[in-house]
Amino acid sequence: MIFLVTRRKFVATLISITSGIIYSAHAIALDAKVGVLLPLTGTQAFYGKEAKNGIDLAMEEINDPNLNLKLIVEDTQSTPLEAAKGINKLITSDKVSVVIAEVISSNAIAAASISEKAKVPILSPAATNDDVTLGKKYVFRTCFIDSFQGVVMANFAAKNLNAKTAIILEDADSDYSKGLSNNFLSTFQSNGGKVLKNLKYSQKDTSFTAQLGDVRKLKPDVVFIPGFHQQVGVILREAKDLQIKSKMLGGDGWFTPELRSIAKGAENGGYTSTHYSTDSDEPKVKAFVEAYKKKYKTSPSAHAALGYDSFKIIVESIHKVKSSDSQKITEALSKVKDFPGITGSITMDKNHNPIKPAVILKYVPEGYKFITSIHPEKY
Amino acid sequence: MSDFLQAIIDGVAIGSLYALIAIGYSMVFGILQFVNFAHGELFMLGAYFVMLFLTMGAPVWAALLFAILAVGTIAIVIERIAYKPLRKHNRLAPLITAVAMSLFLQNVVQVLFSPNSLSYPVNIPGTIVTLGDLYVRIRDIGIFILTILLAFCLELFLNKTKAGQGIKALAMHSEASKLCGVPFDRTVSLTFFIGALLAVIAGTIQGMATNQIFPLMGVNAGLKAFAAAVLGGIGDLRGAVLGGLFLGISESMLVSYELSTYKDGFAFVILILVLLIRPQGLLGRAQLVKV
Repeated sequence: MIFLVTRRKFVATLISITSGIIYSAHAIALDAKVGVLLPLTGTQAFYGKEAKNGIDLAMEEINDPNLNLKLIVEDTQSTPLEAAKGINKLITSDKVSVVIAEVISSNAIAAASISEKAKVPILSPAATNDDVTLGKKYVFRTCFIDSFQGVVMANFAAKNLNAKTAIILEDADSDYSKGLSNNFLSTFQSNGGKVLKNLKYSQKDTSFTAQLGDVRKLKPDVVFIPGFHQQVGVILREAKDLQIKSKMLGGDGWFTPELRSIAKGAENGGYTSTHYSTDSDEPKVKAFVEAYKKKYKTSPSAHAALGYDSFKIIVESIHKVKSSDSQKITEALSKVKDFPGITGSITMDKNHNPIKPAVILKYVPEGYKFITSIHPEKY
Repeated sequence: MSDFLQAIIDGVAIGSLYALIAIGYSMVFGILQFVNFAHGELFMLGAYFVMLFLTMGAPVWAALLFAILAVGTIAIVIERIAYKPLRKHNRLAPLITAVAMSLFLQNVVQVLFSPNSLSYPVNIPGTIVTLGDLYVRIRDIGIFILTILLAFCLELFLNKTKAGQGIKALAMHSEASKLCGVPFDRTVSLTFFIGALLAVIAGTIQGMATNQIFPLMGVNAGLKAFAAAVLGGIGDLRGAVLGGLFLGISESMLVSYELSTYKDGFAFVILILVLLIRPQGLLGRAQLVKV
């Protein structure tokens, strides 16, 4: 009896040893931990969740037995402080190789300075403020930058809409909004236009009548509102109530289904610059939109597409260097060239910003109307 | 001049909502001498409950009624489980649980309804009437009248009914009123219920007017209402209404003179100034405390 048990044990050990040898001989699987740092709760949770959905979808599509990826997700609660705490945890205790960090510029800036010191690369899906990557070796992004977006909208207003006067309604609580409005201001003026007022509001505001009263009185050709949907939705509705006829323009913060549900029709006629158009004819965009709709029962926002692209870029970089070493991944990220993303072909420039076009869409009752696509070389 | 008048008109609308919430703050403070920091969350819960009943197909009046009952009950339960056991302790203890309660409610709603903002199926249209250069939304006139009316009804309730006089007696001297037969716990519950009622109405109005509600909407509203209550003289109902209107108007003035960045700080500057110069508030009476 005793002999039997030992023999069984012996066989079992033998099997496990051989299978271990076979397994390791078959493939040297590469383990890599990827940190994800997004606002999953708090005021800007919508953008974080969309990006997370995109990342999850991309994760599912990766079918490589040699690559064992693990996602570690941290919530920033939409605040820079929690973003800093989150990136610290990911780097020091989870020991991730690379992080997809933050869609909101203010929080991305907070996380970026920490990852820069720790020499762990981060890739932001949607933080468009210029300062996010400026002068940093380990910080990258998948989206175009504010100076580009603000310039595009100012040129569009001056040239395509023949606007002579403008009023800016700026979100005083956001670096993103400040970046867009500064660039809009200077470009619009250099086009011969006049910015009548640069008004500010706070993200905590629930009524914007006081600001809109000035718009109503001064009757500018365009109103530029580089904000987020929560406030922009209400602003557009109130502007309609106050019978303001000026054309409304905004940045990619507008491009969410929530804006429509808050504005309830007041958004129609407004223009937004964004990263891609869901009704593009490109096969890869179509396939992405279909896969996303199938999984989440709603159409993907720009942030979902950017999250998706970010994750794919990271996977490609890990593949290229066949290592989970942060230093090597950083080098691979800085050499990304002509990556075929959903949001356009992505090539990192020397400042780690991708060179890619912005799309301008117009809100119409049945959805969005594609107006034009503007390439960086032309702006 | 027209800018000035317009700022007043805009400010009255915002201020009316502050006032409605401030009344609840003031009443609870008047009775228990404690600031219920979770009061802003009742405002938020009210907006969410009305939204919930509306999507279930209830008409607006029924949704509002159910929401008042639901949130009123929650307010009473909160008082019973979180504040009552600490009533005998020093004043700091219930203050801390109130902060904890407010965080708890915010997070429960985030889990149940997602942190995203939701929109209402029913909205109050924002049609305006113009008067030369000036304009005013009919909705805002309605909100202002409603606030004054509710404050008036409350005043009437406090003066003319037995339950109302119980509240007043309790606010004046809790020990003596107990000896005179005022049911202490029931009166406290009633106060919380009335506070919740006004907060639910304010939350619903904001939800239907701006068409967006989110789990943290009570934070800012609560702070502003608190500042308004202190400004008017905490514990004083008319003071709360006056403080709310004053705060709303001064905020809208700051915006129209392009100082909007300082708007949210302004509430606290007022708070500090009032506490330094006239701690009892605009309408409050200085109290002599015997030691």
